[in-house]
Amino acid sequence: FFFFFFFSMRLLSANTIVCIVKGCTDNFPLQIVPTVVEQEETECNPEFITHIMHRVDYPALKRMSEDIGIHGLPDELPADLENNEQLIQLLHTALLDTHVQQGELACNKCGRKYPIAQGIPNMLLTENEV
Amino acid sequence: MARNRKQLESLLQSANVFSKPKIKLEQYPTNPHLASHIVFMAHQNYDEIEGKVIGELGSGCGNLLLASALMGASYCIGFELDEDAMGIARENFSEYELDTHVEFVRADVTQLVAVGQFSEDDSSSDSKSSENSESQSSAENSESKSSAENFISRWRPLIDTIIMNPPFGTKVQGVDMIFLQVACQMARKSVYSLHKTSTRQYILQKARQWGVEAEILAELKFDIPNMYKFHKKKNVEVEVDLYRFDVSMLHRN
Repeated sequence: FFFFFFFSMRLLSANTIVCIVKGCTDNFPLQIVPTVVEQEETECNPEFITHIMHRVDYPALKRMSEDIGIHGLPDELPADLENNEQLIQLLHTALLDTHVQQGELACNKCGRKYPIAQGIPNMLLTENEV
Repeated sequence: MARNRKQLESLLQSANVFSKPKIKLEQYPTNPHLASHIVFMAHQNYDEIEGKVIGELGSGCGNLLLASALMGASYCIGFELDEDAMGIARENFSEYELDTHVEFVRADVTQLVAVGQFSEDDSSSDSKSSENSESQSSAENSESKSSAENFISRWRPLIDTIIMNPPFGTKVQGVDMIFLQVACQMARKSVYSLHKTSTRQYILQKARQWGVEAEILAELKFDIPNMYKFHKKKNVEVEVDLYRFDVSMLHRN
């Protein structure tokens, strides 16, 4: 039996990752430089999306979506998100159905690049970065 | 989704565990019996699993996260240093078709320690001679704290509860307390964690110092199978406490 792994970095975690190199501050959000992006359609859970949207940084999410080729998110999140089915679906696609398999997260402040391999961002620092 | 604890335990039976455990990382799998008890307790007594975002530090082969997902967690995030362990964890999630519910981040928890908030230097539980990175002069480290702290606080709005079985700190002293400290700063509501009963007084004292409410939910025997060459006895039983730390008062916004 062949398993195809869809474990991959999604915007949900990318939206929370900052550069952790010693002394580098105000670096959020990192830029996603994707080389392999895959999409897999899953069922949208509107409750989860509206719930989770209160907890993510929206401007960063919009920017990162554009990094990985998802356009059309409004500049600001409408207050009545729960009634906007179309936008919820787009957010679902951006947050959960789009997988960055390979690429990097780049810090535009200090230039550090965190590789994304097999869908997992690698945040390990070298000794002199700690 | 599992209906009860027994079913959860039997679902976990078929999950894979470390094929080549690494001694230095103290990779002992949380067995299905223990994992099901911990997660079911959090579910039944505190309603902190179903529909929630669960994190795990040192997620290893992912038993606690998998148990959470099987109990209805809406999303799971595992932080793990070891690539091999993450590979096993992802396979396990895949076999249960729960891969849409999980993400992993490769990170070294000891590099994330942000002592800023709790401002204290002594973090070793088993001995005073801590050799972890944070024992360097704190003035010199102040810069790294702020970027690590920033990292931790970014995750906090997302992660409701952290459930973990951290290294006991027998190979690298103090690492158990580093995990606990980072977890308390990273979760919005609560942290469930296993610690050796021998460190109980120390942990309760630290929790008080940090302003975190600690409750011991159970005294358990952690069965460490004979996985490593240095184990002379067949199985080693370690007495551990299962804690629930209520961290909500730390992060009122």
